[in-house]
Amino acid sequence: MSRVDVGDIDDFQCGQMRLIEVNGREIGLVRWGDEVYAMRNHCPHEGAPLCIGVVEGLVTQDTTDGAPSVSDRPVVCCPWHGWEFDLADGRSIVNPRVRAKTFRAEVVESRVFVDPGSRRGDHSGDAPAQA
Amino acid sequence: MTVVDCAVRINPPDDADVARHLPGGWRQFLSKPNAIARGTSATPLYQTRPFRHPDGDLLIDAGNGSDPRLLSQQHLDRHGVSRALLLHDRARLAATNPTPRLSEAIVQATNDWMTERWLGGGDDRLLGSILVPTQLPDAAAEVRRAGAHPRVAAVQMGGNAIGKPFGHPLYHGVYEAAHDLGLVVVIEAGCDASVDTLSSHSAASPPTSYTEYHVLATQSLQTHMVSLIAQGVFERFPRLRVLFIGGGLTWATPQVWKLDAEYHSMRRDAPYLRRLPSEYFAEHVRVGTSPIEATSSPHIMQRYLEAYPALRQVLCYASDFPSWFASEPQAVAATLPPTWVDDVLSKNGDALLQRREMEVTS
Amino acid sequence: MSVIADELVYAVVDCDVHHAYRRDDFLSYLPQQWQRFHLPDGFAGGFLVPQYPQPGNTNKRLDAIPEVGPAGSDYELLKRQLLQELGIERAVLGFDVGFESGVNNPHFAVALCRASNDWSIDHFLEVDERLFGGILIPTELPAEAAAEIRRLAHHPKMVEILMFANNVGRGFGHPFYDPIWEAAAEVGLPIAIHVGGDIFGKSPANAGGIAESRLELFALFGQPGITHLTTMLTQGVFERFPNVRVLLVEHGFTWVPSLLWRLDEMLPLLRRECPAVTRLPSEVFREHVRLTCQPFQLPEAEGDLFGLLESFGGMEDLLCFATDYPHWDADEPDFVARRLPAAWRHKVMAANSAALFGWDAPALPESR
Repeated sequence: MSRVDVGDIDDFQCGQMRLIEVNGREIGLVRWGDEVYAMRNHCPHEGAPLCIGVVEGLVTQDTTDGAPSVSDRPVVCCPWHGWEFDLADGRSIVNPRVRAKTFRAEVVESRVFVDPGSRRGDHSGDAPAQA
Repeated sequence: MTVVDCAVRINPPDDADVARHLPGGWRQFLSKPNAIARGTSATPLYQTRPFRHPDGDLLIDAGNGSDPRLLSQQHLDRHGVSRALLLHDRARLAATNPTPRLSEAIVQATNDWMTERWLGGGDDRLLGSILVPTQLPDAAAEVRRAGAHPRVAAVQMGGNAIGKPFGHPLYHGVYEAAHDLGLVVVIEAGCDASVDTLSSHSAASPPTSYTEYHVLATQSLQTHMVSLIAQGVFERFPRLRVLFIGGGLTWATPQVWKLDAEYHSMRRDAPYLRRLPSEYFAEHVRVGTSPIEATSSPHIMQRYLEAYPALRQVLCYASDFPSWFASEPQAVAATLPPTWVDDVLSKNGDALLQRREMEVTS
Repeated sequence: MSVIADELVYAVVDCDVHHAYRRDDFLSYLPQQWQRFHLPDGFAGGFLVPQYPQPGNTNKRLDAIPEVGPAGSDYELLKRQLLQELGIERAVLGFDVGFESGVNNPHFAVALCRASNDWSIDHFLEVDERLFGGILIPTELPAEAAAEIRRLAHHPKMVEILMFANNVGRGFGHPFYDPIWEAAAEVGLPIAIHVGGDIFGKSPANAGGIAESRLELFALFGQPGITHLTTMLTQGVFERFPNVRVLLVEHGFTWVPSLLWRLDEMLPLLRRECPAVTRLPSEVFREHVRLTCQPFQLPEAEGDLFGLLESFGGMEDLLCFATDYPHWDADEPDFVARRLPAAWRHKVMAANSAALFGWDAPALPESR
């Protein structure tokens, strides 16, 4: 499968998911810093439209006393049950064995491309593994 | 196979036996010398049981749990118990006495009484629990004082004197001291039932009968377990073990599963947790077996327990002798999957109580 | 109507859907004297609900919030998302979630319940043949609650009584609530008890002290319902009112074996404490109580949900599917149906509810 041009990087607001349809599939694209992430708009839990959920930096806290902090690691929070999924590899934060489907997206000369046949980080171009 | 029993109930034969350990000022404040036969206090040291079984809360002929020889004859010798954790029975609500420094005095006197009457008699099977005056900011001092005794193995939280779930930071000073000394923390059914507690024994309504009191007693245990895990107590105190007594075999499974499921959605309420709640449960929580639930056949309970394999390392035999619902080791063994019997009756309790002794002898 | 997904075919009845009113539609149903007590963002002299942060600042599915009005207020959106997309045959609507019945002023609660029920009939129940409803009752005044039951029980779309708020710190089986049981028995409608009616600050929401986070609150959510059920069994409610049934909505169900075994073993004492009790609690429970299966949660740790349920047995006759649409923790029918043993599927997804509400069992659709 070849990659698809989905627009100019400046059309993507940081942290705001945009939904596009590619080959009959809904994919959510979101810019985070200089990266673009792509995820299938389908939660592996109960099938929610995952990509209409909030995108934010992962909330962490090192010790029990004190306050939480926000990390640079982006997650999307499912709009139904609130499960958090790492945008980079699609894994659920609480249970890494559960995965949302991700796609390789890249920015080349200010154009954003997504490869709907790939999984992010998978350079062989094979079909993505089941969530 | 020898048996380790994680809950045996003890009582003073009368208040005077404990009052001897009170400072003179408190002793006189509570009693009028020579005005009442046998020098018993005019004011009872301990709150009465909030709910009482009409046929008696304790087995008849067991001496009200006040006689070490009867305990040996009727239970320890008879059932091959090699180690038994003593828990205060009617003294357990002392920390909730509404007069703060009096609660402290009574707790200290009770601990001293126990050490003298039960831990000094040469019976190596007996390990003691100490009460803590949890209303007071310096409660941990009593853990360090009374917990220094080499035969004390546990801190018995007793009545919920602060009125918050037991994972609340207000309780952490006590856990820190218990953690430092290698003592097990014991939380028991009925801890929220006193009229002197701000917390409730049951949701929606206080019990309006003994049956309701008995059946709903697991709710406290569930709240406290959830609180300890969710408030990160086991992250903060990584060697702490907490033993829950008085809820039976079946209350923990649905609660642990539920907590795991909700954690998926609300991880951000506890972002300091590094593992699933159920992992903290398996490692840090122990559940005393009493009172065992009756099922129409043992296979039914075995199937229930096997549905959550982690219980094999979590359940610890607890007779609750001489409570009316006390259970003998054979009765408990019959409810268990056969491969679990040795763990539940012996190994888990041994591991739970063992560490204290290692701490002392090293 | 059936749902087909990867050859899985089943009928669906949904017994917990939360509809909601737009304030402008609702006010005219309230008597003039009470209208100003209904504020744009709450109720004057309202009620207390604990302030745990809500992830995402809402307790609703984000995609179920319409352009105008609260989630559950838009009939067209509800029809599309719930009835059409999920192929649900019949849905029972229960407000969001009946807080009107628990306001501090019980006279206001009476007025709010009447208005809610009248609004519901006009705006939802009589609009779509697939939609049914419950009579919301002001539980703090049982005589008034009974009157409201009698007023609306014969409406063909009212299929249950919504008993929600516990403002008096007593279990629903306590004699305080007897007028409600009496009215329910007279009219022959089941009583549905949705979770959450004990968090108004008038009755303890859980044992052991106030939960420190929403995570803990939700983990302990089942406790009040367990107490309410316990009191129904310890007070002999079903023996005194034998034609009443109860539907426990969103209280969970994995606690059933633990509670009922303990109650059964206490029967000899129970009979001495309440002479109205004669029968084994678990037998009474199986005859009179049903439970919705939402949220349907499988153990994360190594564990066997169905092994646990099978140790008690008969749960396939007691569980009723519900979505809880449009709340955040709602379940999809397919998610649940796929995880049920095949022998359970038709019962849990449709037949048990149909029997509870007195409907013909929906036919199993022809396979395609």
